[in-house]
Amino acid sequence: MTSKNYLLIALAICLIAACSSHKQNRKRAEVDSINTRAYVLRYADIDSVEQLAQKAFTLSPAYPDGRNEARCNLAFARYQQMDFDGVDSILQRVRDDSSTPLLLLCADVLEMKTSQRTGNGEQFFRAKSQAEGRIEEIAKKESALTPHEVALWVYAQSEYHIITSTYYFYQEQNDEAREELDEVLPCLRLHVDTAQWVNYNYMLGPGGLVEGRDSDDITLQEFDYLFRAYNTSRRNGFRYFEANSLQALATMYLHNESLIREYRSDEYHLLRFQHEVSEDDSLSLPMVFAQHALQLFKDYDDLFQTACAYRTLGEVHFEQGNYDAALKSYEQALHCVNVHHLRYYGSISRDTLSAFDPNDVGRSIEKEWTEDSRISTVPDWISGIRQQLSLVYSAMDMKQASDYNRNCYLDLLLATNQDLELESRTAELERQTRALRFRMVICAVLLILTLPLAFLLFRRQKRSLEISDTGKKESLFVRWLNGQWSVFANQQEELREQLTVSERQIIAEKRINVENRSKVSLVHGIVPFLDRIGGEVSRMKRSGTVSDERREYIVELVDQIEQYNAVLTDWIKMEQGQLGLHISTFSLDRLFSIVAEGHYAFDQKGVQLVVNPTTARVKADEGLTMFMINTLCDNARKFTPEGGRVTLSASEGEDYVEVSVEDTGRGLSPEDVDTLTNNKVYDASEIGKGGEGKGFGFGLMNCRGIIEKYKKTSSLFASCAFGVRSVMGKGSTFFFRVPRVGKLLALLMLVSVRSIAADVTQYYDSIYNTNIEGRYQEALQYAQRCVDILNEQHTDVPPILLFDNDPEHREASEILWARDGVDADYELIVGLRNEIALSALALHDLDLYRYNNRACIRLHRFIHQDRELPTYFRRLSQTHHNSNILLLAIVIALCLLLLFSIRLILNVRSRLQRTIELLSDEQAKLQFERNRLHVQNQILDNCLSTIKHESMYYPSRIRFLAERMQDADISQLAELVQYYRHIYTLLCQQADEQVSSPGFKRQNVNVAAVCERAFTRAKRMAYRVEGAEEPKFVNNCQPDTCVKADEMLLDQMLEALFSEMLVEGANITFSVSRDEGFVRFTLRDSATSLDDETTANLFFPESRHIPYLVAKQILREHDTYCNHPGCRLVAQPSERGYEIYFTLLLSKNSN
Amino acid sequence: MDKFKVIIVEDVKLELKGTEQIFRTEIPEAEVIGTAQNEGEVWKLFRVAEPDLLLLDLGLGGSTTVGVDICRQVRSRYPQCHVLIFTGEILNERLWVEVLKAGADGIILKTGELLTRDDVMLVMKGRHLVFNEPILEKIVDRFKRSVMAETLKRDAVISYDIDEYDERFLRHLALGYTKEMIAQLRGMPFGTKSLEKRQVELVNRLFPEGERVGVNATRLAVRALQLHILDLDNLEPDDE
Repeated sequence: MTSKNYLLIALAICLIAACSSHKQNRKRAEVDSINTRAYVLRYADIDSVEQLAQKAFTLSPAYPDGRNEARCNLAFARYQQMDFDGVDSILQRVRDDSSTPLLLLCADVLEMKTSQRTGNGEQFFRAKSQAEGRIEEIAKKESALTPHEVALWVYAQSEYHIITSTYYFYQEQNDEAREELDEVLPCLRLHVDTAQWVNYNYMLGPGGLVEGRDSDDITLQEFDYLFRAYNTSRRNGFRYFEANSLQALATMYLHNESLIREYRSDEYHLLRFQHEVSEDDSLSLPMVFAQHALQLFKDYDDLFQTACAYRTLGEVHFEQGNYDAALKSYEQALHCVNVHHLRYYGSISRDTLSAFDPNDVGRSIEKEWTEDSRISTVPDWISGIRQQLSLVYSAMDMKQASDYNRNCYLDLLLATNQDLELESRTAELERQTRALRFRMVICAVLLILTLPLAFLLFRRQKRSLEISDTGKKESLFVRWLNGQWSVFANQQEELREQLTVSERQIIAEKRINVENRSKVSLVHGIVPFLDRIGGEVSRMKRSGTVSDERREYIVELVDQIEQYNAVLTDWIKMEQGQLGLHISTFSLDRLFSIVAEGHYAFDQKGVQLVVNPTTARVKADEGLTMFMINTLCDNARKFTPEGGRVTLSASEGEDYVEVSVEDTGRGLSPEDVDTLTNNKVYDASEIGKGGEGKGFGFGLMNCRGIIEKYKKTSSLFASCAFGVRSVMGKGSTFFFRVPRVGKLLALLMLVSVRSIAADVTQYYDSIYNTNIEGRYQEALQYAQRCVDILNEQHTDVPPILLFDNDPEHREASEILWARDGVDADYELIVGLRNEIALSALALHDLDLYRYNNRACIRLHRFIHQDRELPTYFRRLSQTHHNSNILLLAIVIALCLLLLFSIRLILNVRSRLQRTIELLSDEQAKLQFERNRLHVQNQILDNCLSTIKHESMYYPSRIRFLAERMQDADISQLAELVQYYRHIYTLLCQQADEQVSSPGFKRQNVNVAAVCERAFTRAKRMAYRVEGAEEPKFVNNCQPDTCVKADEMLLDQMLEALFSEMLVEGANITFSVSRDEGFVRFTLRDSATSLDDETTANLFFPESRHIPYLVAKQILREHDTYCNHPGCRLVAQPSERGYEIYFTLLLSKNSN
Repeated sequence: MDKFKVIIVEDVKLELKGTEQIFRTEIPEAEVIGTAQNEGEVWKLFRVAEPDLLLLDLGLGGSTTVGVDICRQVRSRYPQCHVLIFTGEILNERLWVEVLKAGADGIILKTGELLTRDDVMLVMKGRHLVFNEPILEKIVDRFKRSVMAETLKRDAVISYDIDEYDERFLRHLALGYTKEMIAQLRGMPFGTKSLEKRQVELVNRLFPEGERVGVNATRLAVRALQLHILDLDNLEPDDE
C-alpha cells in the first residue's frame, strides 16, 4: 500500500469521527433544548413538563448531564403533584448517577423544597448545608460554565435563596427571610430568568417582608410587588404565579380595597377590567380573584394550591358573613387533602379528614398521619384549613365542632414544632456514631492486613527503639486517640454534669428525709406518754376509784402530748412548700414498659400480666406515678390467684388520664371499698383479708395521700382522683387519674408548679378553669389581671395588651420582649394567649381571636425556633469534612504506629467505654436513689400531715374527760385512750414503713476536711448574725483522722448545730479532738450562758430548737447504722457560756 | 421484804414523775434516794450513796445509747447493785442485746403495763432476765419460730426422703464445694458420677414437674434452704 492510500484511510477515519462527534453534539443540543423547554413550562403546564422530561430522558442514554437534568425537571413535576416519595426516589437516582456539582445542587434545592413543605427541618438543613458547599464550589468555576449551564446555575442559586426564605418565613423568622430574598436579585443578573423574577416579586407580595413608613405604605408596596408578579406571569403564561398572586390580592383586597383604589387607581381599574367586573357590578373583587385563582390552579392541576384557593375563597365568604358557603369551601379544601392522602398513602391508611364528625371527636386523623413516618403530609396546609374551620364553626355557634377543629389545629402546630431540635440532633448523633464505627472498622481491617509486616518491623527495630522515645510516642498517640474519641469524651462530660446535678438533688432530698425522720422520732416520742396515760387509767380502773393525783398526772401528760403536737404542727408549717412535687410531662408508655419488664414476678406466681400500650401523655410527678403504678400492680399480683390475670391500662378522659390496674382476684367487699374510699385512717392489714392471707399494706393509703397532695398543690390537678371498683368474686380495678397533657397547655408542662410567680399562675389557672366552665367573659377579666401583673413586673418595656389594633405595632409586645431577651415566663404567656383566643372565639370576637391567636403562635414559634440549627449543620458539615482528612491521617498514622495502636485502641476504647458505662450506672443509681428518697419524702410528708390532722382531737378530749371524771367514767376514758393509741399506732406504722431504709451511707470521712467545710460555712453564717463573733477553729486531730459516718449527714449536723448556736453576740470556738475510740466535735459559745435546766432540755421537742432535734436524729442514725452504740450528743454549761459536743466512731484506718 | 434503795435515771421530767409515783404507790419497800437526768448526775449520786437498784433509761438528752455505757460501768464498779432498764426504745432490739451484754438484770419497755411491782421485786430477789410483756412476747415468738423451723426441717427430711448423704451433699453444695471436693469428704463414699446422679434425683424430688429445667447446683442448694432441709444457722462443713 502506498503512502497516498494511508493518507486516504486516515482522512476517512477523521471524517467519520467528526461526523459522529457532530451527531453527538446535535443530540446533546436537542436534549438541552428539550430540558430548557420543560424548565420554561414549569409554572405554566405541569403535564407538559413531565412529558418533555420523559422525552429528554429517553434521548439521553449517553449524555448523563442531560439525563439528570431531565430527572430534576421530572422531580419538579412530582413535587408540584405532591408526590414527595416520588421526588425523593428521583433525586436519589440523580445523586447516584451524577457527579456534576450543578445537577447535584439542583437536586439539593429540590430536596429543600420538599422538606420545607413536609415540615422536616432536619432534612431541610441537611440539604441546605450540602447545597451551600456546592454553591461555593460552582462559584469558583463560574466563568467556565456554558450558556445552558449558566441558566441552570441562575435557577438553582436563586431557588436556593427563595426556598430558604420560604422556610424562615414559615418559621416566623422574618428578618432572615428578608435577608435571603435580598440575595435573589444579584443571582438573576447573569441570566434572564423571568419565572424566578416573578417568584421573587410574589414572595415579597403577601409576606410581611417589606419595610415601610407605615402600614399603608407597606400595603401599597406589597400590592406593587403582587401586581408586578401577576402581570408578568399573566403575560408569560405562568398560571401558577398568576393564580398565586390573585389569591394574595384577594386577601389583600378584603381589608385594603379602598386604599388601593385611592393610591393605585390605574392598576386597580386595570384589574377590574381584566376580570370583567364593572364599577356598578355587585360582585366583589376578592371573590372574583379567589374564584379565578381556583380555576387557574385546577387547570394547572396543583392539588396543594387548589386547596389553598378554596381556603381563600372560604375566607372571602366568611368575611362576607356567608358562613355556609365558607364551610363548603373549607370542606372542599379538606377534600383536596384527602385526595392527596388517598392517592399516595391510601394503601397505608384509608382514613380521611372530615370537617367535623361528632362520633370521632377524640381522634385527630391528621395527627396520626404526622406521627406515621411512612406518610408525608403538609401539616401547615391542614392546620390552616382547620383554623379557618374552627372560626367558621364558631361563627355558626357550633362550639363542639369549633373546639374540635381548633384542637386539631393546635395538635398539628405542636407536632411540627416540638422537639425539632432534639430529634434532628439525636439523629445526627446516631449518624456520627455510625460513621465513627465505620472508621473503626476500616482501621481494624487495615490493622489486620498490616499486622504481620509490622510485627516483623517491630522485631527488627525493637533494639534501636529507646524506651523513653517509645513512651513519648505512646502518650502522643493516646492524646490523638482521645481526640478521635471525642464523642465518648462529650458523653463523659455530659454524664459528669448530670451526676453533679443528681448529687445535688439527692443532698436536698436527703436533708428533707432526715428532717422527716426526726419528725417521725418526735411522733414516736408521744407514745410513752400515751402508755403512761394508759397505765394510770388502768391502775384507776383496777382500784375502781379516781385519784386526784393520777388525774392531775394524766392532764400533765396530755399537756405534754399537745405540746409535742404543736411542735410538729409548727415544724410542718415551717417547711410547707419546701417539698415540691417534681411536675413534668411524660409518656405513660415508658412507665408501662418498665412494669412490663418486671413480668417475672407475675410469671412465678402463674399470673398473667397484661400491659396495654398507651399513647397518653400526662402531667404529674414521674417518680410518684411510677410508685403508684407499682403499688397497684403489686397489690393486684398479691390478690390474684394462680391462673388469673392482671391488666394495666390507661384511658383518656376529657382532661385526665385514668391509669387502672384490673385483677381477676377475689374482689373486695362493699365495706372494704367504702373504707378505702371514705376513711382517711384505717387498719390497712384488715382490708381484703376476707378470711385468708394477709391484707393490704399501706400502699393504697399512700397512693390516696399522693393524689390528695396533687389536689392541694394547684387547681391544675383538680381532675386527680383515686378509687376502686370491685365485685366480690370477680376482681377489682384500682385506678387513679392525673391530668392529661392537652394542646398548648402542654407548653406549661416544663414549668415547675412552684416556680411560677404565684399570682400569675393563680390567675392563669382561673382563666383555664373558667374557660372550661364556659364563663368566657370572666376568663377575659382574669386574663386582663394576669396581663396587668406581667406588665407590673416589667415596667421598662412596652406593655402586653389583650388586644392591639394599632397598625404601627406589627408585633405583640411579648415578641419584642423575647427578641430583646427580657426575662419573662414566655411559656405562660403562650398559654395565656391561647386561653384568650379560646374565650374570644367562643364570644365571636374575631379581631380579638385573630390578634391573640397570631400572638400565641408567633411567640410559640419564636421561643421554640432553633436559631442554632443552621450553624449547627454548618459546623457539622465542617466536622465531616475534617473527619475525612482525619481519616486519611488515621490511615497514614496507622501504618507508622501500627504496633502500638492495636493495644492502645483497644485499651483506650475499653477504658472510655468502661468509664462511660460506670458513669451511666452511677447516674442510674443516683436517679434511683433520688426517686426513692423523693417518693419516701412525699409519703412521709403525707403520713405526718395525717398524723397531725387525725390525732389532734384526742388529747383535748382525754383532758376533758379526765378533768370531769367520776369513778364511773373510768371505763369511758380507758376506751378513749385505747382507741387513741390504736389510731396513733396505725399511723405510726405507716410512717415507720418509710423510715425503715433511710439510705445511710457508711463512709470513712476525713475529719479535717469535713470540719473545714463546716467552719467555712459557719463563718459565712456568722457574718449574717448581728453581733456574732467570727467563729474560731481548733483542730487537735491528725490530718488523716477519719470517722465512720455519712458525710452528707455529718455536714448537715454541723450546719444544724452552728445555725442554732450562732445567735446574737455568740462567740463560738469549734474544736475537734480524739476521745478514746471516738472523735469529739465541740462547739463552745463563751458569750452565751445557759443554765443546767436549759441545756438538759435542749434536745427535747419542748425546747423548740428544731435543728437540735435533727442533730439528735442524725446522731441516733450513726449509732444504729455504724453498728457500735456509744456516740454522744451532749449540751452542758461550761466555765464561760455553754458547749455542745458530739462524738462519732473513729475509723479503724486512722492513725 | 426489806427496804431497798433506788436511783432513777430518767431525762424526761414528766416520765420521772410517773415512775416515782409508781414506786411510791405500788412499791413502798423502795426508797428513791435520788434521780438523775444525765450521766454526770448518776455518778454524783453514786458517790453519795450506793443504791440496791438502778432504774436506768437508755437514752439521755441528745445521746440515745448512753445507758449501755452507764450500765457497763455500774456492773464493774458496783457489782452488788441491780440494774433494771426502763426504756422507750421499743423497736431497737439490738440495743436490748447490747445492754444485756453490759450486765443489765432485765429490760422493761415503756409500753403496755409499764413498770410493775412484780418486775422490780423479781430483780431484787436476784432474778436475771426480767422482761415485761412486750419483750416476752417477742422472745416467745422467736422461740416458736425456731422450734417451727426445726419441725419443718424434720418434716422436709421425711417428705422429701432425704438421707444423711443427701443432706451432706446439699450442705456442702450450699457452702460452695464442687462435686469433686464433696467426693473427697470422708463421710461421702461416692465418686463424682454418683454425686451427679444424686443431684439429678434431688432435683426431681425437690422441684415440681415443669420447674426442673435448668436447675443448677446453686438453685438446688437454695431450694434446700427454702424447704428447711438445710438450716442457715448451722451451715457448717463436716469436721474432717
